[in-house]
Amino acid sequence: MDPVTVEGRAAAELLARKGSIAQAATDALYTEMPELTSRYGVVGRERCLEDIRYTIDHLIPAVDLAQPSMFATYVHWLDDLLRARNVSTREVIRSLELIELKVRSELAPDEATAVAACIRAGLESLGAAKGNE
Amino acid sequence: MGVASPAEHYTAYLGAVRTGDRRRAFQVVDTARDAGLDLASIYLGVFQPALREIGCLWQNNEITVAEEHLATAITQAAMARAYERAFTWRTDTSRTLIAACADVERHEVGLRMLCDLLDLEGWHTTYLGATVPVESLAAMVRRLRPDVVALSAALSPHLPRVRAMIAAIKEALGDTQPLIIVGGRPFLDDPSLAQRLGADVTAPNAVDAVRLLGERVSRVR
Repeated sequence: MDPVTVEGRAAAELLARKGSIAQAATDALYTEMPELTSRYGVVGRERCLEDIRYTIDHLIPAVDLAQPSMFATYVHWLDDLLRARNVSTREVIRSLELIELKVRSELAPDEATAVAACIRAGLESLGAAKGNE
Repeated sequence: MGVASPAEHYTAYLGAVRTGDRRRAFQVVDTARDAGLDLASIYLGVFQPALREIGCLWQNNEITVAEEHLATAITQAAMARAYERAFTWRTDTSRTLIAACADVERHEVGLRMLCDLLDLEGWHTTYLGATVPVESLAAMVRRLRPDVVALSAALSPHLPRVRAMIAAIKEALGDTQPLIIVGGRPFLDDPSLAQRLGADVTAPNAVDAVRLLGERVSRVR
């Protein structure tokens, strides 16, 4: 990652903070939606954390290459995958929003904006999919 | 006798790997070869679409991770079987290529297909598979000085590694650069990524890649 460009810095920060961002987003999601605990249990929460880490793995290269469509493609794929496993799109949407919130509080403003552009594209891909139903 | 079509063999092959039936998978390969299908047709018309469908089935939660791994493992064995039946010894192996996969452990099949098809065209290929440390790859490229280096990435998280591999190769080789070709899903979705990562070319599948490399690299020494 290029340390000079804002995209490169943002991607490097995402990588360095992947664990704390993923944990914070998972904890916030389960706090907001207590029904998830009864529905998925401890195992489900662990899997949610893994999924969010995996999502950040895909966010990083999209941010680094300033390619929001790359992340949107991933989010669309993830949503299909999770819906087939009875995880609702609402949860995917909320976890992306919570990732963005945590990113805004941890990264420099210009870096957070670079990340937000990709997350927005991801959210739009879900909104577009829902519009087709 | 008309030109054999892969479609019926695809259906039979998909059925075999869905149920983890290795013997049946091998029978399909033998039948396809006997029907006159060449290796490229079997690879791109049977194996590759079958693996894509297996990936979709897993995504839709119709098969488990273990079943998906099994289908891939069977396909790797079936590829070896099909390749062995297609292989002929050639003496004009003047063009060389090194191939490496940017993933840690999986998604090597596409790269293996490329190397097999190039072998049949008389190339000498060095297939390293996945989990190749960047420095180790660069050292091997510097030592062997291939005409081409082929790198594959199945997922976007692998792209930084591809970029690092390309940078290390360029730094190691200075003026005498190999032609660098990249492939995999991210490049299929966005071919302009290839040059952004420092590669020279990309191709959407192994057959197109073989044709492209054949055009770009002279056989004459």
